[in-house]
Amino acid sequence: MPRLYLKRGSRVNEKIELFNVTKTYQRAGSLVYALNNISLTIPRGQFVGIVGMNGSGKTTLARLLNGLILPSSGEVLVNGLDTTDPRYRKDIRRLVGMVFQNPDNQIINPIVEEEVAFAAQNLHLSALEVSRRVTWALQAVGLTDLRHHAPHLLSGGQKQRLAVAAALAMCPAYLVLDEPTSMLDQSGRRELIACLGELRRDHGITIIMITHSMEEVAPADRLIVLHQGTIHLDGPPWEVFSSPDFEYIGMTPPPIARLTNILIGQEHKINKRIVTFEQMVEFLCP
Amino acid sequence: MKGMITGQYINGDSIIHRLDPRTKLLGCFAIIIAAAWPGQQIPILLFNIGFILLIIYLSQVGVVRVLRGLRTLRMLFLLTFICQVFFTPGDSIWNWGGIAVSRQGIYLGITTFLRLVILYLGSSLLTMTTSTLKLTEGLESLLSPLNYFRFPVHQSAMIINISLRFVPTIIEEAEVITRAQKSRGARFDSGPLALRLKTVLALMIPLLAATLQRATDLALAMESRCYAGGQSYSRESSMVFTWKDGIALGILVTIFLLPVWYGYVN
Amino acid sequence: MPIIETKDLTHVYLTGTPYEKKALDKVSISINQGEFVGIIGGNGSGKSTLIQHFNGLLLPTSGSVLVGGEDTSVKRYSKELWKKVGLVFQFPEQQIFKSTVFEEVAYGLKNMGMNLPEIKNRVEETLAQVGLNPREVAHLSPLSLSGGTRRQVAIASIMAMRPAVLVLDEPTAGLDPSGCNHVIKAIKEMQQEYNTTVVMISHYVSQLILLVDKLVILEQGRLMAWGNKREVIQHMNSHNLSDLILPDYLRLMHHLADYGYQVNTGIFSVEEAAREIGRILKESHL
Repeated sequence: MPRLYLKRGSRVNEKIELFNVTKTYQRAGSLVYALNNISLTIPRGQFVGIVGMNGSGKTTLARLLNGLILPSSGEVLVNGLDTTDPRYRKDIRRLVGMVFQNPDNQIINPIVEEEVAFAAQNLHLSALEVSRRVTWALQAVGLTDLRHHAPHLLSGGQKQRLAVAAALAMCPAYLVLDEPTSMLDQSGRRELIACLGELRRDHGITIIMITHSMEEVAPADRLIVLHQGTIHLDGPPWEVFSSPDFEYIGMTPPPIARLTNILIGQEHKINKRIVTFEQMVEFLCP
Repeated sequence: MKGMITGQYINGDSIIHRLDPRTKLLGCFAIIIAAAWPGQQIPILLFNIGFILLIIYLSQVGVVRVLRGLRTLRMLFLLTFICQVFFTPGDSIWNWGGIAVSRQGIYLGITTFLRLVILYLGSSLLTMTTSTLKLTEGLESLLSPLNYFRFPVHQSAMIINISLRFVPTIIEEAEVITRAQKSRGARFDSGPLALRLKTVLALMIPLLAATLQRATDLALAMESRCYAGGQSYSRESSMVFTWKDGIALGILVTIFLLPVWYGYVN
Repeated sequence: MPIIETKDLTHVYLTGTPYEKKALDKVSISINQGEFVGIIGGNGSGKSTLIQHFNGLLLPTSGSVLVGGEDTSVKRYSKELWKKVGLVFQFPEQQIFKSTVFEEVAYGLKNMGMNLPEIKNRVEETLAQVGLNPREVAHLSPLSLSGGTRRQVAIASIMAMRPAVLVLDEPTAGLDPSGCNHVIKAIKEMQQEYNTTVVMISHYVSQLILLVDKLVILEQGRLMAWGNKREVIQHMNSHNLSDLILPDYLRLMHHLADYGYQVNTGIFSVEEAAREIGRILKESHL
């Protein structure tokens, strides 16, 4: 599968960086800190999970990454490009694709094909290139057969995959997903997660996923826990799940990680890095 | 509810599908004029119907399927027929009590029925062979001269597109909300009129709230995909007006408007 | 006498059209007063269709549904069913339309013909039961509240009617962990205080099985299993139920059993799973 990336923005500097970012809002006369002095670097190719209670600043962080929101202070750089600079707005939006929570409220076209084409058309690409990208994007998410269908007939999982394809039409380097599975049922969830895994494996796209489901981020490279606008924990999932600070703020590790924690607590000889079903099976059934 | 909207686009590759949407829009417009123009005789109307059915056949969307759609309109046909038959003055051929049926009434009833059929067939032909996106593209192109009068053609086309996308979704939402309110004792189909009107609020307000939220979400989603608001660039259109379109348009105009012109001149 | 009983319940949508669909196929179950029943099933399993028969919204195409001993097909009876069987749909906050929390929760009570002083008491009690302070929220506009709070208000509006049976369709979908806890707590308390029968659809199987007494499993409109939860889980083989996702630790148990380990598959908490695995580790000296 060819990697159709257009190289804009510094090649050497392929990462998203936040430097001392603070975001505040006025609410009922007082100043609310949605994010408080956050610094973070997300290199290309990682699968990053971002979790936290409601109100911890997760959605604010997501929207800062593609310039939908601008920081009150501090800098957000995407491949070296500053989100506050209007000259780079389009480049940044093209580099950072975004998928939102509500499957219905991000699809505007009455036909799947045209929905995927939308972003590519907004980039003034030729009709031929648009068509090529639509084919590639639909294939990447497994919706090729539904090319001419109407979106309202799709299942929740299919709609979210369509939203991913619509973002892929820009050939983004990063894909940010803001609670993409919270309105889906089990099979839709499973579909979307499998799709994202393939995207990362086959196309090297950086996946940044905000979610409430710990099972979804157990296989991540890195887990960032936000709490009241600051970074509470940041590390590989097994480390975060076994940290007492995790449960302290009211979060619960996924079942397999809890199993591992309990077994380690009971002093059984078990690999402390086991957090997913597959890892546990590999360990117990050699 | 989901699949049952009559006139829905049927994907295909027939010669009709491949025509420029503008041709089909103008052709449909010609059909509508022909259907509405007064004074046309039954043979011409029947010929028009036959011709449209021929085009439908060529488009491979299924003549039977289209004709079956006529059934959903049978109440409309029946009502208009009855109105024309019983309320048109003229040479009475049958009298029952005070209600007279005239020869002209029957003739008018039949021609009105045929006109409605033409309207239905013509518009079905258009919507079944042209995807909504192509339709709005075509409309946008045909109306583009209005840009000179500062009329927001592109934005209007975008509005039509988004509305078409969401009509089925909103219908579904209305069903869900109705069920939820009924489960709290809301009565939509019984009780005093004043109460029923208040109950409608229980459906309308949630729908409105959902729509407003939807608008905000959609705006974010569109911005995230580099939508800049207006047509500040010339979008390369996939519509090409070929000689086939020219011929098709020529045929359509001739067949449908010739009798109109002829009747007008005479 | 069971409070809800279905006999060979079959429901077909759009009979006679090309879109005809058999949503339920000869489903026979019975639910006793005071029981907590969970319904599990994948896409298209018929769960939503089933629960709509309990409050008379839908009538069977064939077979019968008896609520409180009375047949729901009797119009006189089904018209009043909504007072006895409270149905909370998915994302119930979408049905909010009143301008204050008080009026929203009172809506069902007004339709029941309750007088104002009684309504006031009932609303205040119910708001407290779902974890909200009536004095703080009663006069607020529901649409100005957070998603989780709106959910609590919507659920309160059904609970306020104190139905004999409370039916909930995915009550915790889309909520963060603390929101989930509030909702579950409110349901449990209502059940304990009023001996309410609770029927709950959820795809969070791990959460569900800790709450319920009995489980109903549907697939493609057919009843796959129903009865005491431990028995159902023990015999639930994840291979048989294609769309259904068992929580990881239950899947693990079945997997280990298939592999040849002697494990009890009839467990339903992570702690019990840890006990089983601890035993394996000791015995196999892994």
